[in-house]
Amino acid sequence: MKGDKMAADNDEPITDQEKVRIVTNFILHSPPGEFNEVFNDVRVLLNNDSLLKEGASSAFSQYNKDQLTPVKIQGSEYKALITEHNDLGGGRFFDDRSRQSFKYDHLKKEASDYQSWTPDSTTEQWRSAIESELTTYTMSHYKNGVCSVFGKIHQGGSTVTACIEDHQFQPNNYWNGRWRSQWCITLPQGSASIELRGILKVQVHYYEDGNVQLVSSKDVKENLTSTSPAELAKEFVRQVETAESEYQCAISENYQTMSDTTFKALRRQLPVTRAKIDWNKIVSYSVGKELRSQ
Amino acid sequence: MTDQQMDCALDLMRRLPPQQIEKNLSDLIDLVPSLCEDLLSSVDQPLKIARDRDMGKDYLLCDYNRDGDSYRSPWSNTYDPPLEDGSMPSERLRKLEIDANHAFDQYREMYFEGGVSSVYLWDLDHGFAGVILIKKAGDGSKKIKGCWDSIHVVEVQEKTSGRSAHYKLTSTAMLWLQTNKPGSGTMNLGGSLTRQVENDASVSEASPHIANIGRMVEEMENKIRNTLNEIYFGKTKDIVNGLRSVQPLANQQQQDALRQDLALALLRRQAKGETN
Repeated sequence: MKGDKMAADNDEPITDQEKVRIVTNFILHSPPGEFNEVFNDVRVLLNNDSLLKEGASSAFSQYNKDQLTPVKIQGSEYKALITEHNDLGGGRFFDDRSRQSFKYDHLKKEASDYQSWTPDSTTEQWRSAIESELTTYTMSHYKNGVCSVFGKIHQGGSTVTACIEDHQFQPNNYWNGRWRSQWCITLPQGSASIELRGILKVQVHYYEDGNVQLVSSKDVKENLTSTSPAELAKEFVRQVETAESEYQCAISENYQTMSDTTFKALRRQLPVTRAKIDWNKIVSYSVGKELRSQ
Repeated sequence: MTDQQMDCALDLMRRLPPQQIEKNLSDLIDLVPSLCEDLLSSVDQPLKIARDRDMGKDYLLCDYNRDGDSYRSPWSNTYDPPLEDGSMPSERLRKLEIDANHAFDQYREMYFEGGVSSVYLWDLDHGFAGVILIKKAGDGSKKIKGCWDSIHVVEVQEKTSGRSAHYKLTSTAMLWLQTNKPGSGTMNLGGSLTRQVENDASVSEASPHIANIGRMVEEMENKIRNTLNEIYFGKTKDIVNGLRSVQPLANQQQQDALRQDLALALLRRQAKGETN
């Protein structure tokens, strides 16, 4: 509302820095499959291409990584994913599966300039075992799903991170949707059990004569006890499957409850009389009320 | 240039998550201040409630009962905070506005069994226009927060004879549902649908404006309610279940193949039966 306090109080135009913040925020919130449309809208509204390029290009890269964007890469029958976990900086990403790194164009959404890449050796046997099981799982539950598994060594220890992405874009039918899961384990020193952490996200946008969105996410924590890479990989994927199915079923159940109880309680289909309103009665009652109150 | 900017602004509001409408609208206005008035009058926002302390009744806030930073109550017909010369409906229109508020108060009770409604009218050259607002919040049972907002804008062009009028209705229904549960995490399903309809109707004592408008609003809201039900709990759910299959896909393919075989076998049997 105009009455509410806003940055542009008393008609003072906001700074370029503020504009960049706003534009970046809009871009980062583009629904799946609609980055180009949001980008074009924002470009026209900002009306300053150099400011856009200089201030908001990091948003293009951030958006693609947030969305776990799939990318076709040469020399592999499997797509790779653009994520924060395989970001090498300077616009380059690595794909452990195909042992390549590549340059990624965030606007064209294309890979190029391939170089050979060696996955981290400490984690490789775990990473590749998980990748193999997870790929089978992904093909089995996601029609066009893509999964990527990354092994990394850093200060806290070594981690294996698995990402799964699938989407359906149907702009001609005014809807788009995307599923994202990220699962991570830290390889233990010793025989302690391994904590498996997952973040599951679903977003759906329907926009025929309106704007309806489902935004959902869930955090998961499980424990893995296997000790060999082969066993761990199987246990990893079993837990992933259980958790993801549980989440999906819980979403469906919620839909049912929302429809049967919450929605019905907000507005009836018809009044208790089970017939539409007799407006003549309503109006004459109002007029009567008005006369009586004089 | 501004037309194109307005189109882009509206397109943007159709794509950004509706869960942040207010912030998005505020940011948009900061970005392009010249679009402020147009945006405020064309982008629907969830309705806010204010209290008319004199009359002891709640009323709803929107751009149509706003003047500067004040809002006019449909019950006391005064501005809060008070304004010396806030814009007011004409005397004739105020009478109609009072009747309309009473009529839609009853409509609201019959369909919503609670909630708040408000009607604001303003004069046009050859008729008048109005907005009918309804807000109903759920009681939070089943750990689900729900809210419904209706915004019906009607334009009435009175024919010179005064015996008929042309009505144009633009209706937006907003539906907001949020839950935070262990199984499904946070689930936020929200947004709005908008529809338009136009009608001619005769105006008489038996069929006054309020009755004509009321019938249109009722029919429209019933239609939108059905569509909301289909889209929210049908379409978006189907989209989610199309992203991932709980059953292994191979099972689904096997089932599909089996179904096809059965269908073919049935056709063959039927064909055989017909030739006997």
